[in-house]
Amino acid sequence: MQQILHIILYKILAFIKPEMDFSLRGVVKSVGSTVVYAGFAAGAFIVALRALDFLLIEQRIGLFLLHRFISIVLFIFFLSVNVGNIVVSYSTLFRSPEVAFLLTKPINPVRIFVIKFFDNFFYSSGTLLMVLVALLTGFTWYFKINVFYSLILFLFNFLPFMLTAGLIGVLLLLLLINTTLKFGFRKVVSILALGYVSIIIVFFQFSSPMDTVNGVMKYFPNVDGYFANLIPAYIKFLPNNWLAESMFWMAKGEIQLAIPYMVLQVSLASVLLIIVVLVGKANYLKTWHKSIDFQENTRKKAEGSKVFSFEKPSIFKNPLTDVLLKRDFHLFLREPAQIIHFSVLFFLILVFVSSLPGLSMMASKRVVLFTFVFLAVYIFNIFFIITISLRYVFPLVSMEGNVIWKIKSAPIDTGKLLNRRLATPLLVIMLLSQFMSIFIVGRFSGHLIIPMSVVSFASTFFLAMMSFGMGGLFIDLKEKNPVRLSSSQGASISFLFSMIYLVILIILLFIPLSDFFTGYLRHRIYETAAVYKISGVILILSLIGGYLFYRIGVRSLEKDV
Amino acid sequence: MIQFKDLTKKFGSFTAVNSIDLHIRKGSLYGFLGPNGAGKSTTIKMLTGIYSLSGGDIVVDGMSILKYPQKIKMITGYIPDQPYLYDRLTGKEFLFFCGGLFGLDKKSVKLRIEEMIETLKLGDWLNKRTEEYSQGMKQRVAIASAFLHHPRLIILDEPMVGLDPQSAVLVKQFLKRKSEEGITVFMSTHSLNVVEEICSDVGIINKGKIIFSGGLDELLSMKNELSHNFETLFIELTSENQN
Repeated sequence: MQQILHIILYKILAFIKPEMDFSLRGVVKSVGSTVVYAGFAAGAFIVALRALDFLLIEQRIGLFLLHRFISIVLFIFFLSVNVGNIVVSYSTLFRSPEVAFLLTKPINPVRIFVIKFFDNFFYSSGTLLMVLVALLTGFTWYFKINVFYSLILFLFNFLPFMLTAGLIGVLLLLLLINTTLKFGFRKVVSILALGYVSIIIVFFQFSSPMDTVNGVMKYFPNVDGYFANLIPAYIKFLPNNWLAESMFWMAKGEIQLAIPYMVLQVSLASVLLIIVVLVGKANYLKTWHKSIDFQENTRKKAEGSKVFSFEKPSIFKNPLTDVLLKRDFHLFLREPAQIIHFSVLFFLILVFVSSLPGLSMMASKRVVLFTFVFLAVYIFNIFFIITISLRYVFPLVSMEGNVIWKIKSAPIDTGKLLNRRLATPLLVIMLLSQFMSIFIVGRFSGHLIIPMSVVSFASTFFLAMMSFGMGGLFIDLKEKNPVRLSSSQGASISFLFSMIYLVILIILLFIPLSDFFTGYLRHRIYETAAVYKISGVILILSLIGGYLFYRIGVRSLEKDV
Repeated sequence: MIQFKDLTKKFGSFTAVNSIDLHIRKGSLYGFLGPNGAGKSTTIKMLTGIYSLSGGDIVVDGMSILKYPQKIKMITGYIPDQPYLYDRLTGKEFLFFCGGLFGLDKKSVKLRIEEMIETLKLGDWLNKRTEEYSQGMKQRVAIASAFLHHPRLIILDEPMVGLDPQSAVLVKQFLKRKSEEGITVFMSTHSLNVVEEICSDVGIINKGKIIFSGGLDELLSMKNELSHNFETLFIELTSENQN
């Protein structure tokens, strides 16, 4: 234990020390970051208050339904943290030079495993944790739950809930690495993906939001009660339900009824933690060695690959374009973390698209609710774009750090270099975004496909350019790991800016869309002029904003680094 | 001090280290030579616990690495080719950190650091963040960290890479002195001059197999017999093995 505390102490010391850069730019960046974090926390707090007000006072959905919705959101959140932890844990537990350093010291590997797990958990979930704490504070403020009980809710339900998601993630990662060498990477990842798809399908099959809405609305206006019969039996065993139930009883002021769910939540997290420690004790070092073998095998296989070979001429006549594209292609394929993350994101898109028919069914004839559901589903598409941009565009500039000596000494324009590097991810993200936009909007109304495609184009351009520009602003030429770059402080701030962009998008689109849906649902009139107009405004603003961020990104490599 | 017994490392179908048997005696300064990709770093990584063993065993001071990895690490100091240092910690903080990993109390770490400041000429640099260090200074701090706990065995992977002449002389003298004090030094290197200058024993690995192991004297007499210089002898030995 003493050794663990010793390592943690020095890690904290290294973490809290300010950056070396005491220039005006550095100070502005630090102050700006703090302002963005604080502003975003305040924004999330206000959004929570407004959303609760809207749902409970304006829409009068009642406390029970509200908490069923919270339970669904928490389920999605649980899976996101879980999958996110698999990806980031791979980098921190199996690819980190710090682990290699610590393994050469007389430290029991399980201690390294535990330290790195928590390091990864708080590092990668830090921003999400901040946003959720702000939302949770909004919730407890709205229902006037006192500070003591709010803290209890956070410490004994919310935190163990997140921990459970992370712990399951790391267990799955160990399983993944251990089975990959035996059965092959593709087979194992496919089985895992299939497992997740099944879980999502089963969850929505057994807890249909529409059935819950209809079930509760039968009792309207007495919708604040507890309708135990509307909670499917198996849902009662899920951690997201325990958290939602605790929140429900706390909102009603019946704290004693919230406690059993906290006990369950803490017990599950504790049991899982013990299991993870025991599994780590028995397997971490072995798995580390296996992951090295896996990396070496992948490297050897990739070395033999003739696909898109540097030696062969390609369709790109310009030598710079040719070598840059080939370099990025091979580096992508030879980095297991890149492939795992891309597979996971691609798979999530497929799950999302395949679950659309069920989601669009949630919309009723009520215009506001219809608009709300449409926007929620549409924004989810943009949310994917944010994730992909952060993951693959944000690290672009910093990743040049590996060869900055060559780039700077070669007779090339860094702007041209970055343009070429940016083109491929931008094209891929744009295609994905258009595909999802057409598919999503088509589920609701074909008349909106064109204007919403314009919005998707504008958003994708802006968000990708913002990730690029912020990646340049927070350039880190020493970090060689793209996964760590995309969960760094700069990436977190970029994520928060993206959220602000999303809120602006919702504000701009809400009225024109609800006007369209009013005509569409009530009179079968398709009045799209207002939606076209606002999509034009969004396009112009996004192009201007995107271009400014693009300039920041390009300029970052022109400076002394 | 170290015995490699039928040591093998395979990555899939590729054999990086192929059934090597070596004995490194206590107090020797062993130069581990070989061309690029010969298996030097893989051997060192197995010795330090970073890689697993595909076959065979390594015995250090009578303890098998398969049975007593932690005990072996307690008596070992390791300096990699690219030492990992926490950028935002100062050199001194890093040394205190490393001392703690070996269970040393602050007082003895402090005393040890003062000794190292003298011997390795670390001076005021120790109070600066390691991100400001040159390659040479990083290497010196890494060497200091490896000697904090009075190890009986020191393992170095290419310690001379990127060092300025002053640092190189300093490191060579330091290692030689430590070896004279009875500490076993196992060092992989490309530099034949370094081997000739400070090593007492030499091993040459090529394509995962040991092609020469013995005292420096043996190698020197071989060199003289063939009227070669050291470089030509090395090239001849490693190319003979290739054919």
